[in-house]
Amino acid sequence: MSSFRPYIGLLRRDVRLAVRRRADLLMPLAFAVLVVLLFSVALGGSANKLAPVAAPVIWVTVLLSSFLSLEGMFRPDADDGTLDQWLCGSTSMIGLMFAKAAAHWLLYGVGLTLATPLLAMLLKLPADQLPVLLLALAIGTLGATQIGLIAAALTARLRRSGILLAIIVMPLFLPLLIFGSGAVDAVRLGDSPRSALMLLAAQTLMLLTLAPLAAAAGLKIGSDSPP
Amino acid sequence: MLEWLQTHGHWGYVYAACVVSALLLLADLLPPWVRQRQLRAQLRARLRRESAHTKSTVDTLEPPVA
Amino acid sequence: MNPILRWFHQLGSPPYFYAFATRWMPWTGGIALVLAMIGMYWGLYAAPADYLQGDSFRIIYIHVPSAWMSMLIYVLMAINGAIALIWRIKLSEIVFLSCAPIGAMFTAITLVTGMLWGKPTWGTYWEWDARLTSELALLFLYFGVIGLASAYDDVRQGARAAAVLALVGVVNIPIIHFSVQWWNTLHQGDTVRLIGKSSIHPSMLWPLLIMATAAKLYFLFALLLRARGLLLEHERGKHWVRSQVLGVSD
Repeated sequence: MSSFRPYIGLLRRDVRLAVRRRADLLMPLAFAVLVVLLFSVALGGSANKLAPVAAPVIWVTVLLSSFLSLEGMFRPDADDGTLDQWLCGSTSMIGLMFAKAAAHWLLYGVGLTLATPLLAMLLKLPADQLPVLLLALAIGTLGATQIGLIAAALTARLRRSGILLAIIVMPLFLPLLIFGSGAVDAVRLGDSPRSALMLLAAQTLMLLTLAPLAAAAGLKIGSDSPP
Repeated sequence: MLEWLQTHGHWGYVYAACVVSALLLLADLLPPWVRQRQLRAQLRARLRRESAHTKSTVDTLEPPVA
Repeated sequence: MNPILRWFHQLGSPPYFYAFATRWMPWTGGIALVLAMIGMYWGLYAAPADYLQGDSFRIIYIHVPSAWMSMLIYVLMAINGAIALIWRIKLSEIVFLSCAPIGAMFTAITLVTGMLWGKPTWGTYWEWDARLTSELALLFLYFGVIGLASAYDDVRQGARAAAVLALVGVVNIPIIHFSVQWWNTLHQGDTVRLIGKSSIHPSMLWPLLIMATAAKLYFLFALLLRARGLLLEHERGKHWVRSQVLGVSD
């Protein structure tokens, strides 16, 4: 399918660049462990204090960590002119956004989800909650990447956007968090996590279809010449 | 201040709500108001300066400044 | 052309809008003030006390209109944002930018008056139930819009970027509105209905509607004020500003 080549090319480029800069790849993971460390120390470290909050803490940690990688999503491309090439070129911006999001999710969403068993062990997560947590995180980080894509696109050409990114992204994370954490909570209560997972998946699907559009629109804005 | 709230019964909360709402409203209303007055004064001053500099008796309206 | 359509087109012209705003500000502001005084007096003193909650329920006359405004303004803001994105109409961008701080104010008032009502009624200033949480999220959505728009050097680009954000966040509005139906919440359900019978007593309903009208008129007043200011700031080199500023006195 030669028509997909530019998008797969972008995906491979992003993954390769991140893998080369190992520090960038591992920093969200290191941050996640650090956050867990802070919580564990603050809560006193005993299982009866940690286990009830383990899953929610992991959720918050994953969302905070994935947010960390957002500033670098479009900044290098904006700086070296790649962004303008995309906007001038004949490749579909939406397709490029898909590729960008896919790369980000593979590197950070999947990566953080794979790190979850480690975090679960540190926080003494009850074993029966782990499978649902992993599934919820896999779906949820996919949605979170899309939200991050929009926010990164809207702030791509701004000079320093750290706290602004957080304020933009956190309220939008809430619905994902509510159902993602709710799914694990259902397991804790002995209920079925099905409805929460379904709603989580529904959100992610909606984001998958709409976010690249919004991100493409956001990137176009900064490139317009003033009227 | 919290004791004041409770000693006046429920009316303490009602009045506190009124005061806070009024303060928030003023915080929203005053900055643009003040800024606009300052801006208009600035523009008028600039216009006065420009028309004082122009010796032309034909037309004092300058071409628009970018 | 249809006169209403023509009026909309005319409003899109900065000098016309400036004159329109200058003309209508005193009326909207004045009537809002009068209605607010009537509504507050009626609500605070003349309306009967609630048989369950006593006098603390009177906060409703500030809390509920503010809550309605916080959602209404967001929707209006989002609509103007969409128009600004699709048609690039400058005045839509300006109206969009002007809505955001006013909406944030109403949201803040809603949250604080809600807290002051919650303490005597539920015993707590705050609960993380669906409606309170989503209203708090709304406050941060407003902050995000304001922050994003002001982060751009070019005000028109900033407005359009913030418009994308506002549209992404508009899904929060139905969540707030329907939260009391979809979840078991501490916050009470809907008592005032647009269609059908409201379950609130008329003697309490009237001051509420008066305050709601006052809030809407205040919003128009504040909107015209801010829009006028933004127009002045960003069109200051234009010819019409010179003639209007020369002609219009404070």
